[in-house]
Amino acid sequence: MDIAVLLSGIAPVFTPMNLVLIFIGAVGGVLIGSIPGLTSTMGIALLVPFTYGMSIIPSAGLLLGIFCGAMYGGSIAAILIRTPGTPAAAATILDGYPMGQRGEAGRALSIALFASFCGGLIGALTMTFLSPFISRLALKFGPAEFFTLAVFGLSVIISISGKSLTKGLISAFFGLLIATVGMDKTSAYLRFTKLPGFYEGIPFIPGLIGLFAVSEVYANIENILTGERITAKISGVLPGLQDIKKILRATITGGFIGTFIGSIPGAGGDIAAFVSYSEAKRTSKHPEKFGTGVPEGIAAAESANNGCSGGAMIPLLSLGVPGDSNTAVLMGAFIMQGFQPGPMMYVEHLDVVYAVFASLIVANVAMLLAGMAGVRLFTKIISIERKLLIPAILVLSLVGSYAINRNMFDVYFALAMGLAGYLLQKYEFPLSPILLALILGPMSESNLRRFMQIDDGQFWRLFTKPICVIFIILAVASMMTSVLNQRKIKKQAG
Amino acid sequence: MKKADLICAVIGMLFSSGTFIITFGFKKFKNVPVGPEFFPRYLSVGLFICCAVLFIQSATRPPANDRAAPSINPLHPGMRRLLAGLGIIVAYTFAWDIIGFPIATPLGLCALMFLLGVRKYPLMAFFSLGTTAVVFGAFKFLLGIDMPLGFLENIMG
Repeated sequence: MDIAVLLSGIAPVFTPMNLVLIFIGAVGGVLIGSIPGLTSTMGIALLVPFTYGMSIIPSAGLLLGIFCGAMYGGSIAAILIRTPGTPAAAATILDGYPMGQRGEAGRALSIALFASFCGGLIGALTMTFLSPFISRLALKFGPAEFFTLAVFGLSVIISISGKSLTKGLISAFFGLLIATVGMDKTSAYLRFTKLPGFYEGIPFIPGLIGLFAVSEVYANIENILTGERITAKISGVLPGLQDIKKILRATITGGFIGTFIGSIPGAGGDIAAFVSYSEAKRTSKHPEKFGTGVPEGIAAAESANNGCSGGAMIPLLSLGVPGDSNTAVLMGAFIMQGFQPGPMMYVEHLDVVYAVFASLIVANVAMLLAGMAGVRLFTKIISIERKLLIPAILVLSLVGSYAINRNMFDVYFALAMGLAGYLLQKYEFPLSPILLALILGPMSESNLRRFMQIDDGQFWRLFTKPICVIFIILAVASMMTSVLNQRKIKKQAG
Repeated sequence: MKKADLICAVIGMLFSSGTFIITFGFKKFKNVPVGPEFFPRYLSVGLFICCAVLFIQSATRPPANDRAAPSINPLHPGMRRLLAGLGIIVAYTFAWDIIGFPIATPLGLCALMFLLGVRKYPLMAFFSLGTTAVVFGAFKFLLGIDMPLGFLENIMG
């Protein structure tokens, strides 16, 4: 790496105007991410027209600011109202919400912020220094590798099953089964229903909002208590030293897991967060405490989904292949500016590549500052009387469901999923395996079928591919340790 | 909880049997090693097996280890409130297309707050109008997402 070129590339990022734009992007991203139903992709897409008149560096800075800000913003709604602002924050609910309900929403938000910052920084630095190497590895992923990656992701189900493994597996199979409803992507055949609302498959975000937010609204209507109010304590906008010590390992591991998974085109922050959460639980000395509101659980999920932001940029810049929907929109913005991402960008526009690296690092700092400024304000939300807060959460959830496709069908679907989620929870069926199944089900099915088509139905050939074998071994190891952990938890519970 | 788990297991077995049978009606594609029926069919089998395991576990659970199941009796005050709440929520969402989001939302919010026991009417009015204004304004003017306006569409053009 030529230091002179590196410095000449990053210097233009540090003009006051660019820094202000990155900060505006980060603030906007945090706000967009915190609203259920609004994704970072939507945020970036909304701001692309504003970058028409800008040059590449300020426009990349603004859009990367939104990208990073929204990744953290998703955790705010997950912690405060139990609905992930973005799908990538789904795993944050597991420990973030219980911590918030204990009156420690400020602590949960500051841990999420710190972990997001560290994860984002790990992703950005890895992108800067290891981009060509990781992208070569990511290029080796075909349908078989994606299928085994999905299987590895699904192995996490055991560790998020809660008290009963059987009920966790029932939830997972139910989720996988409903993920097959609608048009089959491989053959364009409509399965189970001919309702137009399911042509694109199960509406994922309305389903997610329904399962987590609307179900919680129903439960609160049933069990509303007079004048119940959670007083959220805030000791600081960043976690204390004790908490940092606790979360450091999970944060660093999560950052690298997120970067690696993010660099694989098609695998996003949602998968990374669950894999990282499971890994943190698997290697923890007290796995039984996961799910009750432990800092490591929040840190593992948040650092991984923010690590993805750097990871997803790797195939975009080095191969011209967007890692996820966010980078697909970013790619469009780059092309609009006259820069075609891909291997030639490293030859023809190395200064721009370095400027993007620097912008991503600065965007993470801006996200940290925006998040620090907002922690106290966001924490106040949870202190609003629940009798007022619950109806407002419902409205926001329904509007979020509507906003995705501007379609009333999605609103009704969210209400129906809310009812299903409410009943399932009432009878102690965990909801997280359903969510994971909705994320990974379509990915595993389409890739398995593609692989079988290419390899003439020879399933055994899966075991001749080194990456597949590694993922299968990891999946088996993850399942075995999770089962052992479950037994340990049951023994301790008596 | 034993009885509730047994009922859940039976519902799950019936549901999975239904989906399993439906998959035999899916179209068969030639020269396709794995067709659209493959995943749903095997997932139905998996769901059935897990539900059967839950059934056996629940049936063989000693009564001493059992807990009371949560009630879904419609006579229970909480459940009655939930049913009323569901009625309000469904009516509220249907009203989006008829009277429009800006009118339906304050009404829906007030109805829900009343159901939850709020009796401070100025607070209800302020909170419901404020929430509607913020949500509608943010989505329409900042994000460019048009919310349903119902009959207001004709008035506002």
